[in-house]
Amino acid sequence: MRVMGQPAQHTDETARMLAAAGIAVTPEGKARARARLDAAAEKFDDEQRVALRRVGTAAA
Amino acid sequence: MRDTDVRLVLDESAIAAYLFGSIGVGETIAEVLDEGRRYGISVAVLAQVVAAADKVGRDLVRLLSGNARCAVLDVLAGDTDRLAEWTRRLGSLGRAASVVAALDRSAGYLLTAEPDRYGELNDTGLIIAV
Repeated sequence: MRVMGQPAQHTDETARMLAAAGIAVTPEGKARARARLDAAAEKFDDEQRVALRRVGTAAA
Repeated sequence: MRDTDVRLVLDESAIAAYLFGSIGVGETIAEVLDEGRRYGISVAVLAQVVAAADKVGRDLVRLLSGNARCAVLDVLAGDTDRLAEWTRRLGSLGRAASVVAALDRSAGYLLTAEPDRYGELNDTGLIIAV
């Protein structure tokens, strides 16, 4: 699926990179991405990150 | 060297989704770049993708990995035991290298089109599915 609309703000190089794959980013799409990133940050705290960094180490 | 400004690590499935025009991958990359951050790809993943791609795919992967805001992330000898354990758990060196790369960056997250392949990790916020 391709979403047409006003391009979001990013560099020409990035716009070319996305356009080459047929991707057009809209403000609505960026809002969806923002929500994904914020949800991830809310769900994954530093304690979890530190614990998972120990996997496979002598400290595990 | 650790690229501390890398916010998003793309796994093999996220790169494949980009090749097929995934809006979810494109908008997430664009949002991270507009934050002033970068995205990254483990060299282990990049090698797998390039090996499997045809010429058109390789050209697109070069655009993706050659972007000034993309960091191609080294696999470090000192991480061998961690990579081995994650490879055992996840069944793929590429997924293991992506996980380690995302975990080692203070605000790093892993972008994937195959979240179910990450088992228990898929229940954490480390994994962002598109």
